Amino acid sequence: MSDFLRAEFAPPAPPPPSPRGSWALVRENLFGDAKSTAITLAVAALLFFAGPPLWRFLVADAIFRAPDGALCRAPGAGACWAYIAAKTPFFIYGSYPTESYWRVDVTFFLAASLIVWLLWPKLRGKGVAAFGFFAVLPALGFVLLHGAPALGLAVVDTGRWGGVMVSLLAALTGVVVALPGGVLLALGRRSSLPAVKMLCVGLIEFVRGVPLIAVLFMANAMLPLFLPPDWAPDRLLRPLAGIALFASAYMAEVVRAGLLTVPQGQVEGAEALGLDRVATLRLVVLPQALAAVIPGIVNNFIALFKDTTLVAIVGIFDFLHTVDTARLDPVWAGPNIATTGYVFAALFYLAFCLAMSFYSKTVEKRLAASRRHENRVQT
Amino acid sequence: MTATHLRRWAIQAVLLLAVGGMLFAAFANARANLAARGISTSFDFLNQTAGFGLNQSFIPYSPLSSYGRALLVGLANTLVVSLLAGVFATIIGFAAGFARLSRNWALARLAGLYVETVRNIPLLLQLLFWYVAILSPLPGPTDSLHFAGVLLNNRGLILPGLVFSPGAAWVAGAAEAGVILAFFWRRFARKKLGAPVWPVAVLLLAIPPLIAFFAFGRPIGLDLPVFEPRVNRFNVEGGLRVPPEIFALVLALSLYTGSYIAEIVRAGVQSVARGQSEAAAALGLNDVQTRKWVIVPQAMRIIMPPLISQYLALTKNSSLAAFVGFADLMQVSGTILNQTGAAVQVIGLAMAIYLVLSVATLLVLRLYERRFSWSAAR
Amino acid sequence: MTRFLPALSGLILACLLNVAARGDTLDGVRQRGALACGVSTGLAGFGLPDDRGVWRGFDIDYCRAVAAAIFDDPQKIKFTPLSGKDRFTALQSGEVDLLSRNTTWTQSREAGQGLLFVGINYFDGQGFLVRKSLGLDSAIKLSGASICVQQGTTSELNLADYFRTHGSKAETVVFATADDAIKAYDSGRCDVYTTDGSALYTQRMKTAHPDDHVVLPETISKEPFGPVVRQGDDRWFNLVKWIHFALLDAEELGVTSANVEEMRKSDNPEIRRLLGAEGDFGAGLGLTPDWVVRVVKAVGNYGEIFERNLGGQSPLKIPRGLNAQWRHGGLHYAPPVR
Repeated sequence: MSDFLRAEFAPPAPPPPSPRGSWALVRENLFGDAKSTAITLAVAALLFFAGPPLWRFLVADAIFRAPDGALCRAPGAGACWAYIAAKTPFFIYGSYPTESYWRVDVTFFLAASLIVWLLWPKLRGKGVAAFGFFAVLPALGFVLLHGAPALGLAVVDTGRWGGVMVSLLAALTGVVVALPGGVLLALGRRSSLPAVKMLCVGLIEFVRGVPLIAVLFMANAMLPLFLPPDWAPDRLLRPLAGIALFASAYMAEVVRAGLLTVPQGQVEGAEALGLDRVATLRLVVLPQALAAVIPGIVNNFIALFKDTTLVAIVGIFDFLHTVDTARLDPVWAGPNIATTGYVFAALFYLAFCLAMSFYSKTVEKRLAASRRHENRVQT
Repeated sequence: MTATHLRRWAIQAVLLLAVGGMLFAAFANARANLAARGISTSFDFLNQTAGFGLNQSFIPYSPLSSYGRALLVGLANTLVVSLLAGVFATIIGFAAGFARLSRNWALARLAGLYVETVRNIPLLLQLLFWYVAILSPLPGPTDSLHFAGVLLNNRGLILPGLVFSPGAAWVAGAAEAGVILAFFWRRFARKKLGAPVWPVAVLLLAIPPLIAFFAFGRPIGLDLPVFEPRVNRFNVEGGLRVPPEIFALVLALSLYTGSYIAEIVRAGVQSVARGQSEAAAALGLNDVQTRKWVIVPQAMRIIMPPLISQYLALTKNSSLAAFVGFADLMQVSGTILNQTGAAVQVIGLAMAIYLVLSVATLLVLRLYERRFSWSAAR
Repeated sequence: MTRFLPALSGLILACLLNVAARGDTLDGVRQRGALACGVSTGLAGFGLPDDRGVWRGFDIDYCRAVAAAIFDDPQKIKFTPLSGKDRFTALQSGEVDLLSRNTTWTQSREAGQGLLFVGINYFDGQGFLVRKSLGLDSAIKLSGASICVQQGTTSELNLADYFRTHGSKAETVVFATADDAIKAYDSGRCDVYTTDGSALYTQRMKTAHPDDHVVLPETISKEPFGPVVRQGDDRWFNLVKWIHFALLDAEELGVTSANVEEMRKSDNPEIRRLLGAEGDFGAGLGLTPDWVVRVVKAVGNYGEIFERNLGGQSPLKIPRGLNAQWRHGGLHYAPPVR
């Protein structure tokens, strides 16, 4: 018995390295083994060679204040932020008359407030907000932006609208039309009436199967042909109609996914309570379906916002096109102007889209938490 | 007929009448408007002479060809660019997706930075950035940047081309023979444990073509691009030139779609249960083997459907070529539209072609789901 | 004889009515009180409104010459900017009486569309714009170059023919609009820019440093521009045609807007006939005998019009070249004043 038993205790081994210490974290994550070390060193080399020139271009050598492009054209100059500062009103409002900027500000402030009201869970009166967003905002927005001589607001031709204003307008138009339109199309697709179903499926698959540029061409060139000659639609209205159609088709798919998450039991329960079909939809099915796919809707909105850049193909001055044409100004012409403009546009879109992504992830987490709670309760 | 049936048919009839009526009115208006402008409503214009040139065409084309041929050139361009961009996007996407899941924190963060940045910037902005800010200011042919036989200037990327002489067919035949031999060797060697599969297969692939190459007097040569003022004082001669429009388009499409594919790959790999990789580790497989034999085959089932959708999205996004003047299907349609005014026919044709591509992709998806849902059900 | 009287009077009546029904353009213009002139939508040198909205240009001055001949007021004009697609339909329908819009004279336009070109007031042709730094003096040395051109124009087709005839090859880079093409040329994407000669000078002004670029001497196509009128009104056709010849004759005889009044008292019989001091130059055109005096006083002679809009006094600085008088090596040769 005693040949394989120890006579005395084995010496205590040293304690293992603390897994929570920060140096250990670094060691494990960055230098875990030879391959990992090599990768870390490669990434560090990349940052070392790419970082400083980027910093120099964007910050150290950049020109922040200048009356014209002379300083920016000097050799060794970096990004020309002074050009951005000088052109900011043009980037935001396009050629909209300066004295009417307040109209644009009011419209978008109203839109932003309504959106916050609709999306913030704690605020009440969502029905009022919805009515405001889908009915009042379009009418008021049109009157304010376009002008109404009867109310003393000078008419501003749509050819002068441009910049962020047009991009946001296109995106908002897309959402305002696409949400009701998408819901209708999705419901139509689920309908048991074969004619309705085929029409909706046909429309959705048709619009989703072609590029947005083709839809914009179609709206721009064919819409004036399909309408009587004296109804000639405005040149901004046509691409907006194209965007609205496109967004509706994509939204329809998202809403369809949402409708599938609503258990059949909900519909049966509503029937048992004596609600008719419209009331069931309005009070039981749609609120759950839409709430379930808010992340999908927000993702759709992000994609739509990025896609509004394509209206430049029919000559509309959205934000990106405004930045692109401003660089041709001979006063500011220089080798770094194009890059500065694009970096600025990229930062703008990044900020906007990341903010919306962040919101979408927050909602997703909240929904996932509530669903986990549901699942636990049901078992 | 019950009341329900009657109501259903009534609703459908009304709807069909309404939609039919609208379509009829639209077409009647279109016909009247087109007649007033003297534009034809037939497809005869497809046989008329185009009268305009296209910068890039992979099939023979001249300004004296017909409009129909111009559309074919546009379609070929779209397909080639989509294919190229698709290949690069897949490589970039899978690399970035796996990089994002790497245990190395630096690599994961770097890949994450790439994905988040590129996904949130519009594709058009990226395309314009590459084309206007990076490729246009490059120096002219006299001061081309060069690296290992490849020249880069503001007129394009010029790669070394291949020159084929008569003996090249033998080299190709030998390469094919090598592929077949290697394939059979792999099948044979797999059954025997311990046989060196890959070293022998590589030898079988490489040796026959090399022997043929030297036996027939080096029939394949390199056509190196060079700027020789005595031959051509304006441009680089020789080599295979990739115009800056194609370069910018493929680059922007690959990076953009690559970021979406990276997210799809990440979602797919994360959907495979953790227990699988733990069991693989317990069986003694290392990281690479785990990924190759356990994770990826299971993840591919989740990855494939959105991946195929991304390829379709890539093909549709290639229509942005109109912004850089590359002659893809939409850009050629736009030019024909400007010249003939036959809006309905031209746009209708272009949309029909995209729909065919879209339906083909959906069929491939459906086929894939049907084939692989069997294994999932089991 | 009396038997034929009803038929004869009917015939005469029909002839008179026919003449009236043919739309006597001159009477229509006089009734309207203004000449309806179709012009370009905006082409520097030929027809472009200035910052105060006043139309100026070579073609505009031709309209002003006709208005001065009819009304003695070169401002009595209604300008209608027309694009390439609707310029001829506007003339055919009567919306404009005269199309003065650097339109190339072709047979298909004359016979095929029921129009008449009154003559050639600008001899143009396709040319090449290159950088002075290349040190090129001829288009034959352009083999291997990259050439920017606007897509779908005759310039594109002429280019292929030119290089094929000379057995050289050049790379054609096409762009959707002329502005895209000149921008690409300026950025170095191509070595050469090609379009109609007059447009070359206009587009050169859009480059960063216009003086760094030079137009090569070769003209590889014929593009004769001229004013256009409808068929079916011979008097109107003759009126516009002889105004054009009068402008050329005035330059050849040395009559300018500055000296036209004293030239009326000149001893030169041709000048006296031209300015209506003797003879009946212009009879049958429906104008008063001093019509040339009014025209030259309003817009000057052909040389003055050219210099002011396209030549040394303008930013374009186009040399007279083929547009000089026949005595100075050009192609302008007006019939004598008789």
